Amino acid sequence: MTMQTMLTDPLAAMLLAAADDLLMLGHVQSDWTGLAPILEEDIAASAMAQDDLSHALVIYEFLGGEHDLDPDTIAFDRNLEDYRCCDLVTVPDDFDWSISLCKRWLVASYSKLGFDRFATIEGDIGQRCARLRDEAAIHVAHLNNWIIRLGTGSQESNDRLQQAINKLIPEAGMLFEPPDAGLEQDESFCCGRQEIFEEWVDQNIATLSQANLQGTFTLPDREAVGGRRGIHADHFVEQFEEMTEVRRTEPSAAW
Amino acid sequence: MSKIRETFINFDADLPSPTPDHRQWVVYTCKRAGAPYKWAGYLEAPDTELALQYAREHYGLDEACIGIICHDHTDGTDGPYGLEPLLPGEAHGDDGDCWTVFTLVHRGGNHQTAGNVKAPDADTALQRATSAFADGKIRSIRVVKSDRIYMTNDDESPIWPTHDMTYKLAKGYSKNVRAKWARFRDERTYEQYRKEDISKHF
Repeated sequence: MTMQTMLTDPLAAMLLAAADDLLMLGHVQSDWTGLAPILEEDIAASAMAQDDLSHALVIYEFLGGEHDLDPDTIAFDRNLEDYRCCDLVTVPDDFDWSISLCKRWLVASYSKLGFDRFATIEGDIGQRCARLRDEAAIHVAHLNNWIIRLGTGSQESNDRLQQAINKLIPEAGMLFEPPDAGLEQDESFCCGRQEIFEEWVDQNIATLSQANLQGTFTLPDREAVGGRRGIHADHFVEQFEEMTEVRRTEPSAAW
Repeated sequence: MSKIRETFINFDADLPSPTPDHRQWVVYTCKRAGAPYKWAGYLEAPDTELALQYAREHYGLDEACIGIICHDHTDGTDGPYGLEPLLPGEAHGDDGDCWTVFTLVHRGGNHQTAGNVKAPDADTALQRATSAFADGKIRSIRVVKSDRIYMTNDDESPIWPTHDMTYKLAKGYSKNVRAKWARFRDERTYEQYRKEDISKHF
């Protein structure tokens, strides 16, 4: 079993898509430690960033066991084009809380639905994802609360959040890009791509409605190629190079 | 902080003034059905909704618990802290509002729920709570009007009864470190490590 074997496994492709989203998002979001608007939210946001990294680790450990690979190797040593994350997760937030919040909200609600489906798989990965699903639900509840709170807070907070939504929603549809062109319809929850997208949109619209915000979500064509199939934006490359900088200095180092 | 962010930091001069509306909340957790809610800690939040949310996240995920309650710090009224156990009183009555009673069972311990009394005000509640709950052991009593105590509901606690957060514990950066820690734990006791550490450094 090798890295190549894992990368051509349809289930692994779906799991890597989920894990890579969380790895990159957790890494980016940890920058906010010490900078969030209020202390308790700082703690919560940092904890959620740690959760994201932990959730990614849980999946990498499973895949490592299946394919005889070190989880760290899976996390840090793949080629750029082998990362399956959606580039939404590395869109720069320029330390704008509204963009950070909106991005995490969009990804968390998507991840929760993904874990719902992975949790139905019999065996180890299903059990792992059932656990992660519960924690993802807490993230979604937390972020929903903040979207509603800021959307209904003041005209300024509503305006800023609306701008963030307007900026990110066009990219968010690519969360539903199938991670591998060779995936058969019945090999993953891609078979319910339209269904999961509609569920995701319904949830998001309900939250936006409560927050006096608007958003129009569009499911890209199945053929639209992006991060899930290894065609990454420059901001992903920058983030990836920084995240792996220490690792790359001495990949075989014993810490 | 990420180096790639260094060029992006831009503190707008027109940021609105911060709103100093944070309140301090006292949080208690219940570990199992039928057990009292015990003091877990404090947090700051501007309102009840966020207080409960942060309580769930900060305290509910730290260790298994089945429920959380919290109240605004200013809604609690503490009686005197006794170096010796409190003596029972003679104040009784069932008029007024319902107050939740928290007792400090031993010095250095934490307050925990003990029951309820009815009273028209906090001072009377303390007196009646002392009569009802001072049993020759407890050191202090706190009363909080029951309708000022907020509780998580079942829908908000999907993870507490079942969660096992050990997968989040620091296990080291790499597989090598994890293996070293496992070997360390297996081969040497903490006491042995401590003795060697003391003799080496002092």
